Amino acid sequence: MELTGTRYQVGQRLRHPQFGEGLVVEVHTDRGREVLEVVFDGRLRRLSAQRDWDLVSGEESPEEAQEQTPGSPRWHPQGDRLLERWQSGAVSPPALFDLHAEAERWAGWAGTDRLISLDSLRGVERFAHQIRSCLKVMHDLNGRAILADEVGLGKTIEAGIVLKEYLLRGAVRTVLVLVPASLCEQWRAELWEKFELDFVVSRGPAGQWGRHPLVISSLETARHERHRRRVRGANYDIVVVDEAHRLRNHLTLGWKFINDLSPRYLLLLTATPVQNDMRELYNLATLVRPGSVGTFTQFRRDFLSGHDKRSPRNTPRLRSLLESVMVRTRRADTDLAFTPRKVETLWVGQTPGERALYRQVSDFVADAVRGDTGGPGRPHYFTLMVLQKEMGSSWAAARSTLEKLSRSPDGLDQRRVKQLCARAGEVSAEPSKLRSLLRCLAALGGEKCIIFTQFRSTQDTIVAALEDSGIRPAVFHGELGWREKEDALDRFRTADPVLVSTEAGGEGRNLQFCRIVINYDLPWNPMRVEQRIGRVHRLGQAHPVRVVNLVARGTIEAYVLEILDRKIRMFELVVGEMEEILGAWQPHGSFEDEVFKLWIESPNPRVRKRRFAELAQHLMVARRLYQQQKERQGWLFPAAEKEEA
Amino acid sequence: MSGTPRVDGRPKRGAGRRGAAPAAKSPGGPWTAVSPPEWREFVGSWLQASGCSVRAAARGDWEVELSDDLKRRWRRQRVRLVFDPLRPTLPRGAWFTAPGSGAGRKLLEAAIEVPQITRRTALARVPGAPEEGLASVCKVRGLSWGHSRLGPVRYDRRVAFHGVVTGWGGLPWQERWVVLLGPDGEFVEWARAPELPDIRTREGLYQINQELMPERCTRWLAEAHRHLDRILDERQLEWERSVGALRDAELSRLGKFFSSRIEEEEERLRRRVTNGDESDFEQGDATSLKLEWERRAAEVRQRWAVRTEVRLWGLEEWSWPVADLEQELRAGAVRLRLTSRVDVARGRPALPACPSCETPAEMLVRSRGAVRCARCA
Repeated sequence: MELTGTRYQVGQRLRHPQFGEGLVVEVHTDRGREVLEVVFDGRLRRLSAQRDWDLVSGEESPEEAQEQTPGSPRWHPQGDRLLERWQSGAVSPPALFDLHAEAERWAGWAGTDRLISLDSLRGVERFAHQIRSCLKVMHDLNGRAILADEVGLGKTIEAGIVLKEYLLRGAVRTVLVLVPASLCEQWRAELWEKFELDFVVSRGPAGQWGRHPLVISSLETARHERHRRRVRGANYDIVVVDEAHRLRNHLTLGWKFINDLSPRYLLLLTATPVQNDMRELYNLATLVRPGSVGTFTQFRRDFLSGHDKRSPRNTPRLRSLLESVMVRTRRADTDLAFTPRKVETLWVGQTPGERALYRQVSDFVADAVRGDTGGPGRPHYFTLMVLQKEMGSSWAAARSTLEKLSRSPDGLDQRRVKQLCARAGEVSAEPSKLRSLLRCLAALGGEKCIIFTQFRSTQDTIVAALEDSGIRPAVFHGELGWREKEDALDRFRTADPVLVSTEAGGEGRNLQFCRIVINYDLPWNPMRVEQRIGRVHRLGQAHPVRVVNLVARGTIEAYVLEILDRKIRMFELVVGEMEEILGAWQPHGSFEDEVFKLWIESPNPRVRKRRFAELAQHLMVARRLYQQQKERQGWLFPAAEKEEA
Repeated sequence: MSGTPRVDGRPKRGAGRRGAAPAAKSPGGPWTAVSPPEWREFVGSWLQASGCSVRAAARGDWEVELSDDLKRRWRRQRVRLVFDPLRPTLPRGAWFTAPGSGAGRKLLEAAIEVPQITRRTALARVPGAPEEGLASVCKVRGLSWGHSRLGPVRYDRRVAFHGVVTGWGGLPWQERWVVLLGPDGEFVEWARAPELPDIRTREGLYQINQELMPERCTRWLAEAHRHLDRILDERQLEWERSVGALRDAELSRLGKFFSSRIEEEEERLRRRVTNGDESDFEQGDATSLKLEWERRAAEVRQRWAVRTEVRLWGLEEWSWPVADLEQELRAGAVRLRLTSRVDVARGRPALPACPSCETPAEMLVRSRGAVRCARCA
C-alpha cells in the first residue's frame, strides 16, 4: 500500500453526495493520480483524492446521527400516561407510590458491577470464579470472549449467566447457541431449568432461524449450505459456540461461518483452545476480536519459535494480549476442593444357574441382533440392548422384558424367549446379587448410603429385600410427584438410612450429607456413573466418599468396570474430565453402543477380552492426549490469585 | 413464614422508598443462593395491595388467590409462588419467583405498568432556619449580621418527577432520577437517586387546597422534559466520551489489523508467494478484506452506538414548607434589611439577593459606602 501526501488516511470515514457514508480502506496513486478506495454500503468504489470530500468525525456514527443526537433522548410512552392520569386527578396514596418505587428498584438494575441475573437462577451452584469471569466478559471484554476455564469449572453456567444478563438488560434480543448435535437437548433443558430461557432446537430443513428469538442448533446444521443464508439473515445479537475447539482451524467451514456471522457478542467455550499448533489459538482469538494478536505474519514473527508450532515465545506479552479476548480459570486458582474418593468393587458370586442363564440370554441377544436386519428401524435393537443391561441389574428386570418379548415376539424365536423367561422366573427368586448387597449394608453399620439402579423392577426387588431384612428405605424415582420426591429425600435426610434411587435421583440433587454410593448395577455410560457419584461427591462434602460397585464376573459390566476403573482410572478424574476424554474418542460413536457392539460381535470370551482390551487402549490414548493438552495449556495463564474464603 | 406480607397490605415504610438499596452481593465473594427477604416482603405487599389473598404453604411457598385484574391478566385463578432458588423441582404450575425469573418479571411488569401520582407534605424542620440566619450561607466582609427573624411558614406546591434513564451502548446501564420543580415550573434540584435526599414526609393532610388545572399539568410536564433534556445532555456527553474512547480504540485496532492484512496480501501477490503452504496466509483477496473491514467497523460502531431512554413513571406533588427570613446587615451607621426565602423542610435559607444587582450573592462586601456582592464590588 502506497501512502500519499493527501489529507486522507485509511480508516477515515467520508460522506459522498450519492453513496452516503463510506470507510476509506486504501489511499494510493494510480498512474500518477491519487485515488481513494472507499467502501460504501458493502461496495468498494474508487474516488479521486483530488476532490474535497466531507470527512466524518470519528465520534459521530451514522446510527447516532439518524437515531439520536445528544439532547434528544427517546421518551418512553409511560410519560404520556402519567400526564393523562395527572390531568384526570388520579392520585394514589403514598403507600402505593412507595410500592411502585420499590417495584422500579427490583425491575431495574443499579450499575454494571452487579449481575442481576444471579437472583433468578434456580438449582444452580454459583462460585466466585464464575461471577468474576462473567463480569470480566461483560465489562472488560465487551461480550466477545473465549471462555477457556478448565473442565468442571462451569463454562456452561458462565455462558448462561452472561446470556441471561444481556437479555434482562435488553442488550440482546436474539440468541444462537451452537453445540455438538448430541448436546442440543441437554443445553435446551439446562437453559430452561436453570435460567428459564426458552430455547428451541433448530433442526431439519425448516429450521427455526429467524422465527424464534432463542435458538439452539448444531454447528453442522447451522452452517449447512441450505441454512447458512437464513442463519445470517436472522442477525443474531449473540452467538455462543460450545466445544469451540472445533473452530480452531481457519480453513474449516465452521470457522468461516462464524467469521461471516460476526454477531454483536460472541462467546466461544472450550477447555482446550490450543491442541497441536499455536495457529489454533490465533484463529480463535481472531474470530473473537480481529487484530487482538495482530495478523498471523505478525503473530508468527512475535510469538512462534522456529519450527515448533506448539510452544510460544515471548509468553508474558502474548498472555497479556490474550487477556483481552480470553478468560481462563484453572482449578488451582479456585478454592474448589473435593474430598478423596475410595472405589471398591464387590464381586458378586453368581450361582451356576445364574451364570448359565446369563450366557444363554447373552447368546440369544447376540443371535437376535445379528438376525435383526430390518434396516434403520431395527425393531428389537434397543429392546435387546436394554435386556442385556437388565441382566446386569437384576433377573426381575430381565424377566419383565422377556415376558414382553414372549407376548409379542415380532420375528424373534418365541419358544426360546419363553424358555428363557421361565428360567429367569426360577432364578429371580433368590438372586445372589441381593445377598451381596445385604452383606454390604450390614458391614456399613447403619451409615447412610444411596443405592442406585437403572431399572424400576430392580428397585422394587431391592426395596422388598431391604424391608424383609428390617431396613426401611426411602424410595426415589421419576414417576413420583414433586411432593413425594421431596418427602422421600426429606425422610432420607432425617430418618431412613438407605435411599434406593433410579437415575432420576442422579440429576440435580445435592445429597452431600451422605457419603456412600452403591452402584447396584453399572451404567455403560460413564457420564451416568459420574452423575451418580456427583450427587454426594461435590462441594460441601466433608468426608471421603466411598463408591461400591456390585458386579458379577464375566458380565458386560465387569468389562466396562475394568476399562473405567483399571485402565483409564475414571474414578480419579475430576468432574468433567471424563467427558473431555470421551469427546476425544467420540469419532468411534457412543461408548454405550460400542460396548454393546463389542459384546455381541465377539464369538467367544477370548475374542471378547481382546476386543475390550483394544477399546481400553483407545481410551487410554485419549486420556493421555487429554493430559498432554492440559499440560500444554499451562503456559497460557499462570496461577491467579486464590479466591477469598 | 419469613417475610410474610403485612396484614394491612401497606409496605413497611422505609423498606423500599426510604430504605437502603438491596444488599448488593459482592461480585467476588461467595454467593449464597437464598431469596432476599426484602423481595418476599415486596411481593407480599404488592399482591395484597393488588387485592390478592396470600397464604403460607409448605416449604416457604405462598398460595395466592389472584385479584380479578390479575386473573384476567394472567389467565389463572390462583398461583403458587416458590421462592427457594435451590429447589430442583417445582410443583405443577408453580412459579419460581425471583427478581430476574420469568414469574418475577411478570409480576414486576404488572407492578410498574401504571404510572403513579401521589401527594406528600414535607416535614418542616425545627428550628426552620439556622440560628445565625443568612450568615450560614452568605459571607460578609466589613459588615456584620444582625438578628434574623423568620416569618410564618406557608406551603408552596412543588412537583418531583421520578424517572428511569436507560442507556445502551456497551453494557447497558440504568439510573433512577428525580427532578424537583418549583411552583412555576422552575428547576429546584435533581438527584441521581430514587428519591430526594434529606427530606422527611409529614403524615396527614396535604396542605394545598387548590386543585391543579390540566393545562398547568401539561406545562409542568413540558418544563420537566426541558430540564431533564438539559441534564441528560451533560450526562450523555460524559457517557459518550467514555464510550467513544473504547469504540475508537476498537476501530483503530481493527483498522491496523485490516490495513496490515491488505498490505500483506498485496505483498504476497507481488511476490507471487506460494510457499507450499497456503494455509499460513489469511483468507481472502484484498478486495474482500476491504469489504470485511467495513462490515466489521460498522458492527463495532453499532455495538457502541449510544441510545438513551427516559421513562417517567411517577410524580409527587409536594406541599413544601417555606418561610421568609429577614435579617439586618450592619455597616457602621448603615443598616440594611435583607430578605430571603427559607426552605423549611431542609432548614436552609436561599442566598440573599445582592442589593445592587439583585442576583443571589454568596458574599457581600462594603464598597464605596454601599453594600454589594463580591462581583459588583
